[in-house]
Amino acid sequence: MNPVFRAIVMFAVLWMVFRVGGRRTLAELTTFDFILLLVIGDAAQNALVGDDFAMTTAALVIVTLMLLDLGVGRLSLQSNRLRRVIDSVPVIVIDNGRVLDRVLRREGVDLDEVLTAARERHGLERLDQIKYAIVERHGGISVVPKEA
Amino acid sequence: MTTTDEIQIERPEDFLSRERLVQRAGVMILFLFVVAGATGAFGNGPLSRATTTAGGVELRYERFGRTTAPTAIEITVTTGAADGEPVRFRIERRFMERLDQLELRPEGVFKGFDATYAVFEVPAIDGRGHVELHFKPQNPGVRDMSVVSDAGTAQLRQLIFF
Repeated sequence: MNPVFRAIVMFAVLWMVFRVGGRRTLAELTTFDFILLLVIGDAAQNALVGDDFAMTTAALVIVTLMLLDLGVGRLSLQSNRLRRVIDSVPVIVIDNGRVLDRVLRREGVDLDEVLTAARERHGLERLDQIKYAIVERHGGISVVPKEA
Repeated sequence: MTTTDEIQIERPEDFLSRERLVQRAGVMILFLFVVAGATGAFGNGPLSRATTTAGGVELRYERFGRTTAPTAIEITVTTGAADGEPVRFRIERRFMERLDQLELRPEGVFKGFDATYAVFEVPAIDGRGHVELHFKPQNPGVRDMSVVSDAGTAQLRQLIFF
């Protein structure tokens, strides 16, 4: 198959896998997640170039992937609805100190991770000092402290 | 560095507008590169597929190829020979000697070199002899080739990219 079409197919497959798999930032990767990413990268590379090691092929694959990423990014700016589909939405997991357990579970985030973010970024010690904790589109956790 | 009362930050507007212009032009060039690749300007697509016919010799090949990427030349020589009778043709020796990782289909059709040519002989089916040369070019550049037979002489030219 032409390398451009290989790149388009693999981009779609990887996008679907990671979109369905949920958001998780690099900082929160477990050792197994990291190994899994390496294996996925290796398998994707084989699918993208196979035994065709020409520089032109590599350039075509790289440029195609880059343009697709750029295109998807631009597309997500066109409408809020598209952006939701592409990047999901920020989700509140702590609302005025109250933990929204079901939402937390659904997002695959542990309460400890939220408390860690609260300690690291704001020096907060307790749950009741948190006004909002939000799992952002990119998978990071934002914490808004209660006003003293 | 331009500063305002509020924040000390570089604000080179001229540079930023030039940068945006270059980025837009760059994206357009990259887009055209991908379109060219998808249509076969670097091999493996409709722009690349070619057929040359001269007399009873037909060559199907790719105009463009890439080093290490598999490509093939299909040679069909129509002589009207009865089934099983040999169909003979020759390919320039210097071209054959430059083919890398060559695989012939069917096997056993290469009969040897004479002074200038590689000689092939294949049993006819429906009055035609058909041979495929599958190979992976290892070096970039232009390759010319002629297939010579009693039925005619056909030529092709391939451009191999890095």
